[in-house]
Amino acid sequence: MGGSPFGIALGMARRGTKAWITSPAFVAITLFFPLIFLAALAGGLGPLYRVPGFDYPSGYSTFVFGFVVLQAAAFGGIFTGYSVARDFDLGVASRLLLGAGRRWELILGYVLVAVIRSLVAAAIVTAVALAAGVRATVSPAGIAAILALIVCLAAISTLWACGVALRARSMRAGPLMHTPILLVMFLSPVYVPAALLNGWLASIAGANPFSNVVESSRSVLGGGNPDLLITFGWLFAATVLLGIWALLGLRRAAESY
Amino acid sequence: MSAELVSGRRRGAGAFERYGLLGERALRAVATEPAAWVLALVFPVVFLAINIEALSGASALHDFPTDNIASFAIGLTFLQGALFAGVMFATDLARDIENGFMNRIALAPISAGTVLLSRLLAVAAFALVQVACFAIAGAIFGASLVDGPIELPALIGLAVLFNLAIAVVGFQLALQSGSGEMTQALFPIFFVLLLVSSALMPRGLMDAAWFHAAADLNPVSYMVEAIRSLYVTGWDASALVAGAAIALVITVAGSLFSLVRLRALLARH
Repeated sequence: MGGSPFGIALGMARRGTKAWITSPAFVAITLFFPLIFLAALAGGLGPLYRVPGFDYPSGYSTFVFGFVVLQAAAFGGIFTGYSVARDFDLGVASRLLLGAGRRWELILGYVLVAVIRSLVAAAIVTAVALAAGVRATVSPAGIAAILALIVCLAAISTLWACGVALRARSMRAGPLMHTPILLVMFLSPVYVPAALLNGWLASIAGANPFSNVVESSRSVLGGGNPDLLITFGWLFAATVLLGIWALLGLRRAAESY
Repeated sequence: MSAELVSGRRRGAGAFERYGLLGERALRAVATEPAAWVLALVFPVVFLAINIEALSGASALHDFPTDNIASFAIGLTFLQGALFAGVMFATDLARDIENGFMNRIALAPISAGTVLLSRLLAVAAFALVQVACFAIAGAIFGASLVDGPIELPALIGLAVLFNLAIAVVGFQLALQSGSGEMTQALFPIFFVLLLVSSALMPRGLMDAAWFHAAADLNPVSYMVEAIRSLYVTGWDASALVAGAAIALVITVAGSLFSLVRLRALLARH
């Protein structure tokens, strides 16, 4: 495997995608959390839209959807990290590490799997959201921007989860993969806009790059024209840092065999 | 410990000693897992802190039951902790089936009732730790029992009962499947029950009819409301009785079913 350029990565992507789409349980779990959050937040927290100062003309369901579609991307990456850990538990990873000439393509392959998973999950979540009454006013450029946000978040969460999995080399590291990502996501304007957050959460959310990503997503969905340069700047920086994190983890894993 | 029970050196050990040994083992299996402390203790407190700030605007809603969001949100904290703990204790039971520990128990003079009761005691002991943790955290964040310390026995009793109710549901799947991995599938189910409830918004304020109906049917809503009533309204007999009664029915029914399955499991060996 891997004679042609990116052959290893594409082979990994094919393998991972096939394993995912042929397992209904894997597909279901990838969709489960975003759909539940969409239902619970849009269905249960709708009254928050009436809080004085809640400024989002497209409605609470669209407001929530702007977060949930990004959550679907992040979960695609988290569950791909679980796959990496499972590969170690099953002994597959050692064969991959020994057999792959360009080992960095293993990481790229896992990222490609996560991107595919995330795009499919986001498409399904979007279809459900639209059927449930979410109304978004998005231009073609806005759709491209949302897709780019999904791809970037899927890559970032995969790189984090891969780095953890490559160091721990076991499914027991599962909580370490998803807990930091969940915390970063929830330390942002999830239920209400940033302007309505108070206290320490307002300060942390203000400094949290993910807040910028969520607000850009919501702005695009509401027909706005946010400054995406800063948003993609943060995402690029995170991708580079976490890419180094994952590659260092790969080196550590390879040295252990 | 298991060798002592099986080898006969402890043959004739009293009932309390057996409960203690088995209960201690079950408690240790969960309490020594770092995930137990993070998921069942730290996470609920972290999310309480987040929810207090994130939902602070909700107190401005007409008919919102309180100005104190900490007192409103703490009900979710207790149930979230109970759900995570329940899954972990159930997973531990399933692992004991998988790894053959139950086979060894079947050879020992230990009844199914002893096995079940010891695990329930372990759940209750962990619940006491959670109550202390959540009550202290809640107090730090500004949630206070309306009628003061006199409500503590009710809070402790409800929290322990809710933990038991959720754990016995988990025991059902553990005994049915005998698989730790399958038992962990309870986590998403419990997660749905937690989110599609009145944990984050009072039922009286819910706009979406389907969500309101789902929350009405969800036993977790009544459990959350029972805890919340101690912090928001004081002694609310209807809320307390509803939450306690639902949890008691689940606990008793679940325990009976678990006992039947355990007897069958132990009899097979």
